[in-house]
Amino acid sequence: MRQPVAHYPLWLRLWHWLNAAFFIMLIVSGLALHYSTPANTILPFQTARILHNFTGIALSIAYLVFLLGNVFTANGKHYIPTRRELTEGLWVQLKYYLVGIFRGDPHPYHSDDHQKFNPIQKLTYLGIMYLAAPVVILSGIILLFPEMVPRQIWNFAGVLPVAVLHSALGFLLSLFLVGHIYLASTGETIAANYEAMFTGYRSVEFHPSGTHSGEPEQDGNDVASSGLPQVDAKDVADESTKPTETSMEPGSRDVARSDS
Amino acid sequence: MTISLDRWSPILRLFVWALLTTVAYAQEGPVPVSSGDTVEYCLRCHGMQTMGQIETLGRIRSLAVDAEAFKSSTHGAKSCTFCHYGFGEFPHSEKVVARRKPQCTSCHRGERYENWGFPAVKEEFDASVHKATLGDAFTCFACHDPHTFEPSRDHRTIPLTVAYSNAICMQCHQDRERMVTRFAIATAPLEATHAFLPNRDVHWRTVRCLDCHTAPNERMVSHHILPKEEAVRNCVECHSQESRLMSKLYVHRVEEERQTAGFLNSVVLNDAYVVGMTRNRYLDAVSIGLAIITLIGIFLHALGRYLARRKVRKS
Repeated sequence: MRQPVAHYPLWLRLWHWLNAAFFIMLIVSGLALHYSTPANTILPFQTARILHNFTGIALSIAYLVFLLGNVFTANGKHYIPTRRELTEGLWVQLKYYLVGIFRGDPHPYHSDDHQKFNPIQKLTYLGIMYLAAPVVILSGIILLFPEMVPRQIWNFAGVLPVAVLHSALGFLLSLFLVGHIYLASTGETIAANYEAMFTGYRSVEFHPSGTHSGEPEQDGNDVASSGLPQVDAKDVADESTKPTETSMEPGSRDVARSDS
Repeated sequence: MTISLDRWSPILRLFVWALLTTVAYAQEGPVPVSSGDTVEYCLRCHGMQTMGQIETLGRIRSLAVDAEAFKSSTHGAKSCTFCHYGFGEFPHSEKVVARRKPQCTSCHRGERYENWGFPAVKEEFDASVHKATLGDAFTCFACHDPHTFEPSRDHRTIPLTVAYSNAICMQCHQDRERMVTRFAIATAPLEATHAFLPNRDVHWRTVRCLDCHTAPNERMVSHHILPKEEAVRNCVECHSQESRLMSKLYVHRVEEERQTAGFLNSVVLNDAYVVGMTRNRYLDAVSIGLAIITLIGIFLHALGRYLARRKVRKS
């Protein structure tokens, strides 16, 4: 039985997938421009240039949507880490990724409507969306109008620092994308997070008898699901139609540990 | 009240010149009234911006020389009479004036022809569109004023080289009226013919016309100007690691940097940024390294999760 938990509003999902599409096109065309060869290994230079410029502008507009969405809806709060998360939480989450996940430990931070992101996610998204993205977008806009850039700053070509910054950050963002896609598989089940980003709902699986399906003693099929939120089956049954608040507080450890 | 002599001196000089010429001619042909062989001596008249001669009605041939430009030019150490021999006397005798004007090859002959790259220049020029369209009417002087000529390698910065070189082409090619009146060639505006270039103005101020409009060669300058249909239009000819700019516009810079910064740093990083060409090999290496580490990390992590899961299943 699956219990849906409303997670990602429609505007956010639309933004997320549009942003993903633009970003992938930017990475491909960006690589084609940076590593351009007469053989046009990735894309012809002209095509790559046009694609990069247009998707760059599109992504910038999408970024504004993201900013406005976070200002005018409750989504913005999810990016702000607490002091405790920054001091202790980062380490707890890192330990989970490096050790706990292999032991079938439960997620130290559960994703719910109050707290969608774990401390590492919060800090990464904060850095990516509020630091790296604006710099990449601004430097990209400057590079769209190279004639406005001073020809020479000291002995350097004016666009040189802008271009190096743009490509270096663009590269780091691409690495983020790779990590992001992989880490999305570390949800309650491997597919849970991907599904949630499409449907908006995170399905919370629980055993009809009331015991948690993730416990290896009962259902050894899914180690990843062993860290299920501690949803009380009765609570869930009571409010089965509306989005649930999981009973577990973020970071709480009263979770059945897998012994394996 | 004092009169500034400086301000009046060109007029005074012209007056004296006119007077002396009249006096001289009155005495059955010009008789030298003064002589000298220093540049300064000649510049007393030829340094005046307005110095010229009416060739035909309404057409003035300038005889002025920009003193500053001449002194910094490649011929700046020579005296005027080195090429214009016989002109050291004033008024210039008719015999001297009637003589054939000095040509480049008047000096650049023999060893100075062979060793200074002139055979290659001639070969390239003979194949060029300039020669094909205008024939012998197109002389060296059409582009190169020997009084101001500077070899590109002498410029301190790439932007100066570009500005100097492009100004030469623009003397004719920007002046569509002149192209018609002098050469009977109708041309489209350069803005239109170059409209295909993204960031056209940036291209115009950062690379030379020659970089796209000449055939590839080993030296910085090729005199083999191509017909417009054969000019470079493929971006990657410049925007790639094998950029033709490295053997053209940047060739001297590459050599210089190789000497000062070592082979590895000779990437022309400072003066220009060319997408696809300007790659810092260290940054590239770091980025590829990071990408590999990330992928290996992810692979190992996923493998670990898979193995842990299998272990649980077995037990």
